[in-house]
Amino acid sequence: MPSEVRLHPSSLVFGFADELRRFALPALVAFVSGRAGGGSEDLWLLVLLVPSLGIAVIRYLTLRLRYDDDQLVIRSGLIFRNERHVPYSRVQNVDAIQNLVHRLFDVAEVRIDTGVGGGSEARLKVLPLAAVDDMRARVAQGRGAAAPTRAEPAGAAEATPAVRTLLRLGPRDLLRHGFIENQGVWIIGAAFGAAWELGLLNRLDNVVLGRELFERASMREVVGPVVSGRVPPLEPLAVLAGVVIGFLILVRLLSMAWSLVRLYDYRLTHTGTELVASFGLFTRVTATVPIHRVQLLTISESLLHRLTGHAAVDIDTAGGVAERAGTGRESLAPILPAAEVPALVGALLPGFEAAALDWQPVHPRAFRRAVKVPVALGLAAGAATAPVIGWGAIAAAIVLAGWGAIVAHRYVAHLAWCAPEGLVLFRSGWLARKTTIAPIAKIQVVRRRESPFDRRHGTASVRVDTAGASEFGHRVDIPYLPAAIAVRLEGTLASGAAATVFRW
Amino acid sequence: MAALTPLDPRVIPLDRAIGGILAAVVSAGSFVALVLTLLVADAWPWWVGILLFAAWFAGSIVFALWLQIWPAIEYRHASYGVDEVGLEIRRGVWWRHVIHVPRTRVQHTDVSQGPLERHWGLGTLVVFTAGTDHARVELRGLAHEVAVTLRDQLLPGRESDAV
Repeated sequence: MPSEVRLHPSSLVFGFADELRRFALPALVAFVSGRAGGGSEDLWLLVLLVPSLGIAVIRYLTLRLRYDDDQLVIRSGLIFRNERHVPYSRVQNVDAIQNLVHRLFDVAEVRIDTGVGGGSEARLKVLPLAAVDDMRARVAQGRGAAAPTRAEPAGAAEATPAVRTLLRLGPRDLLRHGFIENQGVWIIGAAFGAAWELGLLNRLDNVVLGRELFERASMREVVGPVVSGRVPPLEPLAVLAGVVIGFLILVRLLSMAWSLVRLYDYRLTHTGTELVASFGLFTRVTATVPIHRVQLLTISESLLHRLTGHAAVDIDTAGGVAERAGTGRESLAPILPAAEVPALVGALLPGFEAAALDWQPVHPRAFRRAVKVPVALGLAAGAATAPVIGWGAIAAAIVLAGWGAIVAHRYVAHLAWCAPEGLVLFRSGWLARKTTIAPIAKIQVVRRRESPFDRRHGTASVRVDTAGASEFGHRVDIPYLPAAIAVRLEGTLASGAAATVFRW
Repeated sequence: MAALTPLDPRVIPLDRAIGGILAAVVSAGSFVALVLTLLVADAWPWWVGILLFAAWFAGSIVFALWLQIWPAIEYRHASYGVDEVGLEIRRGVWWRHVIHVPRTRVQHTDVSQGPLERHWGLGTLVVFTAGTDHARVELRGLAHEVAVTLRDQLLPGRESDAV
């Protein structure tokens, strides 16, 4: 039986210090307010400290660390007991953190990182330094035994250093990108904020915007009659429309200028193992992403993109040890002709052939499911206007519900998925379309879900979870699948993922 | 597809006990709130108080009964399985979920046991993955020994290699 390691006795000191720090502010407030009130009755609140101090003591007394042949075992808890098994082969990193006080006791706080989403790694506060070195040695040894061929893929990849340029964006492309993405609002917002901070705003609207526009209360002249049902006076209406249109044009122009400056001379190159993007006029940024870190790839086609025959490609990446902060969604190709998308995706995901994709629709009855909520909402919104526009509300309700039905119909008609060898793809959206591609080797968890409505219509949804997925981004989450197909897809994806080894 | 096993039946009394505690706390809390309200609003006619107490009583009974019935229903819809692919968990009465965690995606595992779980000899298996929504997949209602066995079965086998 391998011996067990306990926390260092000074853990109690650090545990108490942590709790005290957490309580410092409320305690200070209580103390000060107690003073101000002429008494210190609020100090009894410090009693609340007792349970958390107790937890620190229990933690110190019960935590045990054990090294098995292929895993690290951490036991803790007196009332709520927990036993955590961390296989050496899954340990990404062993971090030791030593502040000044730690150094005084010759100890360190240890974090064992296995790359779990959300950072719920094992945390040990605190271990003697000798135990930290011992842990590192054992983890390295255990990992070596489990993975003797660890360095091989990197070595093999280095043999092919052919650098290919995947994408270059000239000024015209960048201006188009700025026009489509329309980030001018952010710039104006930022400028507005800065001006407000500096107190320039008051002077600015006198000089630029023409103070008299607001002084003369043109807004009221226009809005007042509209609300009370009269025809508004034409002159201020024209001025207002001019201001609005001018503002919109200004925003687009700013956006175009901004994208020209920020993404100037955008180049995306492929070095065999890595993607390198470099861009910027004043600040030249060079971003490197190892290709195997790409977890999810999303192709966006907004209405403007499609009208101009273009698209944008984003990737979700998961940082490994070195780049924990670098997780999230990144732009791979800010803009490119739609015809070049397949080649770009193919360069990243071997085996991707756009022409060979066998897109599948969702269940034929999906529309019946999708249409109910928007129509109900449209009717409700229409009815809500009744106090203002009277009988016109009926027309409003019909128009809104009709529009809801059209949107639902187009949405369902454009839902599609397919699962070629090694990949799973999901496409959705009517006016603005998004296609997300997940390599099966990057799938973490597969979930099939049936709501009561799903069961009535014989449908189900399948969702794929990957590392580093952005919270509100487009995901592989396929709704309204025929139930039998959902079961088959779920099985294919789960067994496909199980057959591959996940590399960061 | 993995052969599915139901949860340990002892999870029903466990969940009933938890439900009982919850019902007691909620009933007591709402009783106190009700009494305080009636003390403050002394202008109300007497029968409003009687009515409110009757409503409180009925609500508490229904809530407590529901929490005694629900665990058995939930139990019937929960199962799990482990095979060469990985761990499969099914749960949910209205919204039914089937969750697959491929074996090669298990980063580390916990087996935990609270005081009530210990009383019934149960344990909870928690599987951690590198995913986003399912970074932590929990399977509760297992006999403690079963949770430990499952954990050992899910360990990255000697066959697989590093992340």
